[in-house]
Amino acid sequence: MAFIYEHMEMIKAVISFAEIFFVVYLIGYASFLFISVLSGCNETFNSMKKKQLRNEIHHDYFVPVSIIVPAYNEEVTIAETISSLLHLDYKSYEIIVVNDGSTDQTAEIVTERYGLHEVQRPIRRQLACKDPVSIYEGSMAERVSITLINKENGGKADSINMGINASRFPYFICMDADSILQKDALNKIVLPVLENENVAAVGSMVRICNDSVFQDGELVELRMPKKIIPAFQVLEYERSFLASRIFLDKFNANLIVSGAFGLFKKEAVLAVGGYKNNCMGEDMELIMKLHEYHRSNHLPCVIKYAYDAVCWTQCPERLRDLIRQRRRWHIGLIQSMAGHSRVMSMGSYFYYLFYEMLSPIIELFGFLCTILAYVVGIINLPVTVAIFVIYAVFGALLTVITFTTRNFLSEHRVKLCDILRAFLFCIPEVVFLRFVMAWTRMLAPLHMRGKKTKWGKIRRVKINYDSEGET
Amino acid sequence: MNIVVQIYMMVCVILLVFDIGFLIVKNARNQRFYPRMPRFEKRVGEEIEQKNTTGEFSAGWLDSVRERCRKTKYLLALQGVLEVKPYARDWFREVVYSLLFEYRKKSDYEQAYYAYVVSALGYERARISSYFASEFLSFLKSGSLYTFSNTMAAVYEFGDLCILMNAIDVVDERAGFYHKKLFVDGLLSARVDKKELAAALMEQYDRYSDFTKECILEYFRFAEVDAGDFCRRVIILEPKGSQVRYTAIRYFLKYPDEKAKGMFADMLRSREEGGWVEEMLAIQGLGRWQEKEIRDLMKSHITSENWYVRVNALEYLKNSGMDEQEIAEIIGLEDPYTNEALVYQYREDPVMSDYIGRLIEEQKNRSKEEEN
Repeated sequence: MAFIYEHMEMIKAVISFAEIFFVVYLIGYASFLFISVLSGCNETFNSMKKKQLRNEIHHDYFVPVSIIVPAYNEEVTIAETISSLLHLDYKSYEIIVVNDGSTDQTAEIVTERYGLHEVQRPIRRQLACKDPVSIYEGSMAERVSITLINKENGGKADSINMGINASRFPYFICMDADSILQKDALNKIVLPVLENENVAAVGSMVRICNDSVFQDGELVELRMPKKIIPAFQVLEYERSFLASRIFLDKFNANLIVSGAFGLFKKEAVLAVGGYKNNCMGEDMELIMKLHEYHRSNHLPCVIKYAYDAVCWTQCPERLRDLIRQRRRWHIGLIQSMAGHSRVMSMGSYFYYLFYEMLSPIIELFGFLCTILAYVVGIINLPVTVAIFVIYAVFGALLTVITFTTRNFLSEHRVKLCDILRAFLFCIPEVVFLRFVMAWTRMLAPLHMRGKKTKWGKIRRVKINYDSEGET
Repeated sequence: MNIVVQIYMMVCVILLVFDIGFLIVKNARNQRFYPRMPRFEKRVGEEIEQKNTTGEFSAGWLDSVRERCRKTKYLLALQGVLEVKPYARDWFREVVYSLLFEYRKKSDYEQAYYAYVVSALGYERARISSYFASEFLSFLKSGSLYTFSNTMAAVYEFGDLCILMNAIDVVDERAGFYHKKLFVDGLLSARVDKKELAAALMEQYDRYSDFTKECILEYFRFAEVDAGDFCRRVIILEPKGSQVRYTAIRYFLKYPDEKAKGMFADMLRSREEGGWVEEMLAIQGLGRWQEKEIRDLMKSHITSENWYVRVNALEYLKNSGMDEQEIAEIIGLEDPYTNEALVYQYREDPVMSDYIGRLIEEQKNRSKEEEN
């Protein structure tokens, strides 16, 4: 305490500077959030106008795509995921399931349910990956070929690399084994490829489907999850996918294409060496690598975001699963950002650096400053509370705007009671979830031991998939 | 410090108010496009019925439609009715044409829509005026891909060779399509005489870029145009390794003739370094000929260093009825890459698959014994 009193003037000066820094930081965040929400909503309105005014390419050309589904202990959801893929409204695609040494019945379920038979097939190893143990092939109604590759356990990135090696088509889609693609998702996600030859990857809109009902691969009833943790994540996803990604897309500045559903040009991915094995956020790392490679070689590279290509995914229902997942994501973010400093010339790098990667540290610093200010008695409590309330209300209102705009413009709308719940949850989401996530991300570097990519251990719940003969 | 908080609060409130205000205004402005115009639609329907029965619209009504359709929402409503009553399209043709200059000044979205309406007017019985067409083609220079695409869709519908050739010139100049298939599909759907179009394309061929040349050759292939001599000339003139040359070769995969057989055999004999694409195409092209000379050529390619050449050569031999003795001879070559391709070829045949697997296993054991 004596030290504090001795250096009171200096501490006061530091805290004053810190206060100004935080207000600038918060205004920066508020402005980004505001601009991105505005831009996202505007874009959604424009997409309606485009549709109404027939601003679309009329064609009967289906870019052939390989859908790669890496799976590790996915016996609960894998059959539903493949069933939904078989119902896609698309003419030319193949499904490749890569079973990464699952210890459950994943492989048996796929082979038995879809009548696959073992084949001797060489796989050209353009990307390094673990050896295949066995390969099964088959096709559904002679329309879609299904390949199951059982391989030694090597992680998600390793499995996707194996899928890329085995794929036949020039574009591939990477998706999670617990996700369901909307029936028109493939049509929508390949459109940027038809419109621009320089597109190397296309991201999609990932939405949460916990408690929603599906039939024949199509969503029939959208519901806000009953549990509070998934409900918070619905608001968070809507804000992130509708706002910031659309905004960053305008500047070709997206550094993330979600691993849950993304389209990639195989040639470009092969050129950068595929997915990195010892990285937690292999999807982000790949996008940064693509940006870096093309910039270094002065080649055009466009990463697009197809916000109307929807993938329905399950989010963690338990807080501990969520924390585990976000910890993994944050470690991935740190690894990707640290490994690709050349991408620093992109403006969005600084957004990800200050508002994603360093935000927990900055927030911790802010917290410590507040405590220090309280100790030295220079804190103005009403002012602190006012800042906090403004921050929470502003964030919550923008979340509600995003949620309601999306709901208003979407063909799948939630019920009124779900909208009211969204209103109810928006402030706790900003206050509680953000706080927990900040804490989780702050501690994430402590868990960086061990370099191998691991599969996230999240308790799977059976998807509410109500299909003919499949319940 | 209070000032800082006040600034922060003020910024947040301004941003929020602006955001909400923007969304409200945006939605209100969109009403320009989206509202249904029930009274106008009903009137159009009634006038069409009247024209059907009496042969005439009400006096001056068509002029009022022309005036109203200067606004996009009325054009949307009119198009909506015409989609339900396609027989009435001819009666509104002139009205739509007269709006061209009006819509050329509008936004990209509206220009694209206008081009779409023109494309949907139906041209089975009507000829397009050359003046309108020449003015309409200016839409092809639009920066909007959708305007470009809708304009091309209209050009294919017009059924006028001269206009189509002019449009192809523009496409070639601005490299309008990024994917060949989009262009080729369009050409295939064009309502013009295929022979006349093919003749015109052959005449103009040398002027075009490589991309357009590839599209034209693909068009010949899909449209079943008799272009054998033309494609042979292309193969001679184009340098080896060029995509245009490959596209010309592919024509003969679909329409093989005796001359092509000789050409394919020469390609296989030449064995140029890096010429695997041509070798692969040649093997596929020779699939319908089963002479001993060709079979020998194929056998000499099953040990090629290229996977596609190996696997295609083996597919030829498999389709031409390779017996167990010949399979044993292939395995006797002791080339693991050839064996791999052989296993792949017979992966769907459990009996042969077992036989091949056994032979390979025996061979491995023999090799081990010899080593020991």
